[in-house]
Amino acid sequence: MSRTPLTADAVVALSPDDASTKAARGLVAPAKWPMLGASDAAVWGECQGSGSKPYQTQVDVSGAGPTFRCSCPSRKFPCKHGLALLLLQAQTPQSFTATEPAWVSEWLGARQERAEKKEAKAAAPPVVADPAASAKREAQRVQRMAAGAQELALWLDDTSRKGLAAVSDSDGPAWATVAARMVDAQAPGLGQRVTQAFAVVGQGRDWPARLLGRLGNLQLLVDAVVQRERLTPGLQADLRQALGWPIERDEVLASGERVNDQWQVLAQVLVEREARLTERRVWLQGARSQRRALLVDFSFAGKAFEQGWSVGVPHGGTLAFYPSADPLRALLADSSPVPDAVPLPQAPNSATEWTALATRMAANPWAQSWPLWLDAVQLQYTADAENPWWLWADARAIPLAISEADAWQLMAMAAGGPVSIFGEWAGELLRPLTAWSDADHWVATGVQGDSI
Amino acid sequence: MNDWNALLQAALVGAERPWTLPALAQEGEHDPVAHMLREAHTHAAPDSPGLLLRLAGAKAVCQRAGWTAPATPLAPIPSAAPESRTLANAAWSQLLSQAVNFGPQRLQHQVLFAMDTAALRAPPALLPALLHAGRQSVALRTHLLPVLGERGRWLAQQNPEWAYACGAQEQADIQTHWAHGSLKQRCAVLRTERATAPAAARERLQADWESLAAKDRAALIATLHVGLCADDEAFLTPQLKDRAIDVRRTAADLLAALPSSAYSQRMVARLQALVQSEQAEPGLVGRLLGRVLASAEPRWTVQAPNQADADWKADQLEPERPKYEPLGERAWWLFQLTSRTPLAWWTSHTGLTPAGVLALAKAGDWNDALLRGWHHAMLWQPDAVWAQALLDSAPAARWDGRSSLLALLASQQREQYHLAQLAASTNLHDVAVSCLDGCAPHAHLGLAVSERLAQLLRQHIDQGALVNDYGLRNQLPDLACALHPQALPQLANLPRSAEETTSLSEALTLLEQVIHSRQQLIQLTQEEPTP
Repeated sequence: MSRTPLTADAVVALSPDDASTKAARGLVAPAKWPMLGASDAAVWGECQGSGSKPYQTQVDVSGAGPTFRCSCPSRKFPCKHGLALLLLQAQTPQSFTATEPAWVSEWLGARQERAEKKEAKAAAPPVVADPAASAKREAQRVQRMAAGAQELALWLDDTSRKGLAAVSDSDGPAWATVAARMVDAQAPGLGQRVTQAFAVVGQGRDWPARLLGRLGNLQLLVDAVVQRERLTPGLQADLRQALGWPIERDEVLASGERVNDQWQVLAQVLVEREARLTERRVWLQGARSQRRALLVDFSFAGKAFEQGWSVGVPHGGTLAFYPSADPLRALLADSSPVPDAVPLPQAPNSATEWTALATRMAANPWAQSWPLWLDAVQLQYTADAENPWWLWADARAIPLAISEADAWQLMAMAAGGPVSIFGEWAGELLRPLTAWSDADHWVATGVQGDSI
Repeated sequence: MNDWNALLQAALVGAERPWTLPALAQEGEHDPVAHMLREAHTHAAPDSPGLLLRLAGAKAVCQRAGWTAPATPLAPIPSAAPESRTLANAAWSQLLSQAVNFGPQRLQHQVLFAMDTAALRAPPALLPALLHAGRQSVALRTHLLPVLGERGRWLAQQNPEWAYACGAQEQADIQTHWAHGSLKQRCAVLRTERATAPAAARERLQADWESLAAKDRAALIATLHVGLCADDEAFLTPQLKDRAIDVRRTAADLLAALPSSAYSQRMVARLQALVQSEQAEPGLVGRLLGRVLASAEPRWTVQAPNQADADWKADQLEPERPKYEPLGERAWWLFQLTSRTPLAWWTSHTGLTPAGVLALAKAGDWNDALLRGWHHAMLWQPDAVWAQALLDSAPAARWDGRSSLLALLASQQREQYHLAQLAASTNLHDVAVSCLDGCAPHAHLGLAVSERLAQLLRQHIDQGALVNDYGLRNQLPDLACALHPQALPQLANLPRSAEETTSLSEALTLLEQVIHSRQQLIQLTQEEPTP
C-alpha cells in the first residue's frame, strides 16, 4: 500500500456531525473489524454490527476526495463505519492486510463502468423517444403552469390591496394552501417562493421590507410567464428553472455550453434537505477561463456522490453549463487527471467582483444566491445581538451569516490579518464557505440561514 | 421620501388606498431606475392589477444589484503581535488535538506542560478549543496560557468569554505584566518576585493595594504565602479589617502561619486554656508528686470552648455556626481555633510528636473538629511530618484535600504510602483514586507503585470486571496518564471482543487512544531539545 492514509484530523473533518464522530470513535477497535484491507484505490473492511452479517464498508480514495459506501442502513453521510475505517487506518495502517474481496472489486468496477458509460453517453447523440408526444406533454405543462401563474397573480394583487401590515403568523395555513396550489399546477418553484416569502413574516426588524421584496420578485415571475415568448432563450431557461421545471441532465450534457479548464475547487457545502436527502454544492473556478461554476448534486439515504471534490485540489475537465442568462450551474461532462496542482488564483479585485455580481443579478433577476469572493477583508465580532459577525472592508461592513464555532475558527486562522473569503451572497448577507490567508486556509463546516 | 419607502408604505396600508410615487426630484433626476419606475407607473392604468408589487419587484432587484456595504464606525482590529514561540509541528499538533478534543484532562495537562517546557505554541485551528477548555478548568490555565502564543492571547481579546486569557505579551517585562497583565499574570509576577525578593514584592502589592478590586485583592494577597516572613505582619494585620471577607480570611490564615505574629499569640492563648495536662494545678504536695510522676507520660486532654468571646470576630472567628455545618456548635468553635493556630505550638506545648498529638485527639471527644482544623492549617503551614501523621491516622478516609497532604510528602514517602495502600486495600477503585490524588496532573507515579497498580488493573480488566465497574472505567484514562512510562506496556493489547457492549467498547478504545497518545508524548518529549 503506497498511498498515505488520511490523518485522524482530516477524517474527523469529513464527519457530518459530532455524534457521528463520537460513534465512529467507538468503532476504532481492530477486534470489531474481522477483515481490513487497503489498496491504492480503496480502503475496505467488514464491521461487526448488532446483526449476524457484518457491514461491508468501503471508501474509494482514488479521486480528488474520498467516496464512501457502506451496507449499513444509516442515513448519515458518511456513516460512522466509513469514518471509523479511515480512523483505524490512520492509527494502525499495518493491520490493513486483507486482499481485495469481490464486493470491493465489484463496486470499484461499477464506478469505473458508470464513468465510462457517462462518457459514452455524452459522446452519443441524444435519443428522443417520440418528438411529437414529448412536445405535446411539454405544451400541456406550460399551459398548466401559466394557469397557475395567473391564479397566483390574482392572489398577489389581492394580498397587496389588503396591505402587508395585515399579514400575520395566523395566515400560515392560507399561504400554505396557495403554495400547494402551485405544486398542483406543476410550478413547484412558485410554491417554494410563496413559502419562502411567508417565512420572513415577523422575523427581524425590517421584515415588511423583505416581504415586499420577495412578493415583488414573485410578481416579476408571473409577469414573465405571460410574456414568456418574448424573452431571450437564456432568460426563458432561467424562468423555467425558477418555476421549478429543471432542465434534464441529458439535455445539458448534449447541448449545454462546454468549457474545458483546470477547475479549482473554491468551496464545497453539504446541506441536509428533507429527511435522508443531502444536497452538495461545489463551487469551481476555471484557472484559464476565469469562469465560475456551480455543481449541485443530491445523495439519497447516504449513497455515495459520484465524484469526490476537495477544496484546493484542482480538477481538469469539461463542464457543460445549464442554459441561462447568467450561466453558473453546470455538470461535469468529462474529467481528466490534473498533471500538476495549479496554485489557487488570486481573489479578484473587490470593485470588479461587486460589478460582476451586479451584472449577474441584472441578467437573472430570479436567482437567489450568487458566488462572491472578497479580497483583503477582516472578520469582526460586534455586540450586535441580531447579527454579531461582520466583514470589515475599507471602512465598510458586510454582514455575515456564520455559525459561532466556524466564526471563531476563522478568526483564529486570520489573527487580524487580511484574508480573502469566498462565499454565497444571499442578497443581504454573505454565507462564508472558504477563506485564505497567506499561510493558511479555513473551510466552513456548515452554512447558516440557507433557505429551502 | 425615496421611491422604495413610498412603495413600502403603500404596500403596508394596502394598494386599495390611493398611492403614488414621490416627486422625481426627491429620488434624483439622473437615476435611471427612478425614470423607469415612473414610466411604468404612468403607462399603466391607475388601478391595474399587480402594479404596486411590479414596481416594488423591479426596484428591489435594482437595489439588490446596487447594494453597497454600509460605512462602519468600527476600526479594523490590530492584528496579533509577532510570536516568540515556535509553532508546534504536525506530530505535536495532532497530539494536542487528541488531548483537547477527547481528553482526559490529565492528558491535557501533560501535553500542555510538555509543550510549555519546549517553548512551543498551539496551531491556530486548536485555539478556540483550547480557550474553551481553559474557561472550563482554572487548573489547566498555568501551562495553557503560554502555549496559546500571541495569536491565542489576541483571539481571547476578541471574545469577552475568554477574558481570562487576555493579558500582556509573554515577552513583556515584569513591570508591564504587573501593570497591564491579567490577574493570573499579576499573581505570577508576585510569586516569582517573592521567591527572591519578598520585601520588594510586598511593597509592589502595597503600592497598588487601595486601587484593587476585592477579587484581585483576595487572589494577590494569597501569593504572600510564598516566602512568608515576620516582616509581612505589619502589612497583613490591617487587612483583618478589609471590606471583603475573602481578604480578611486569607490575611488571618497567613498571620496564623507566622508563629511570632500577635495574631498567632492570641490564638495560642485561646487554645492554651483548652489543651491541658491531666494534673490539676498542683499544690506543694502535688508539685512533689508531679516530680515523681513526671517520668510517666503526662495525660493531655483537649476541651472545646464553652462560649465564643467578644473579641473573636476581630480575629475572623465566626461565633455563628453555618447552616449546613455538620459539626456541633462547640466543635465548630474548636475547629476554627485549631485551623488558625501554628501547628508547631501543638508539639512544643505538649512535647508530643505530631503522631502523638493525633493519637491524643483520637482518644478524646473532638477528633473530627481537630482533624479538620489541622488539615486546614496544613494548607498554609506545609509540614511533611504532620502530613504523614494525618494520612496515617485515617488511611481509609476520603478527604477532598488528600491530594494537598500527599503533595507535602517527599516522593519516597508518598510511594511508600501508596504501596501500603495497594497491599492492604481490597477496593482497587479507592486506591486508584488515592494514587491519582497524590500525583500532580503533569507528573507520573513512581515505577514500583505504577507496576503494581498496572498489574492489578490488568488483572481486573482480564477478569472482565470492567463490565460492571463503572467507577474504575471512568478513572482508567486518567490512570493511564499517571502511570510510569515503563508500566504502560502492561496495559497494551487489551482483550477485545466483538460482543462487548458499545459503552465498554468506547471506554477501552479511549484507554487505547490515551496510551497511544502518551507513548507519542514520551517520544516527542525525548526528541525535543530542552531549551
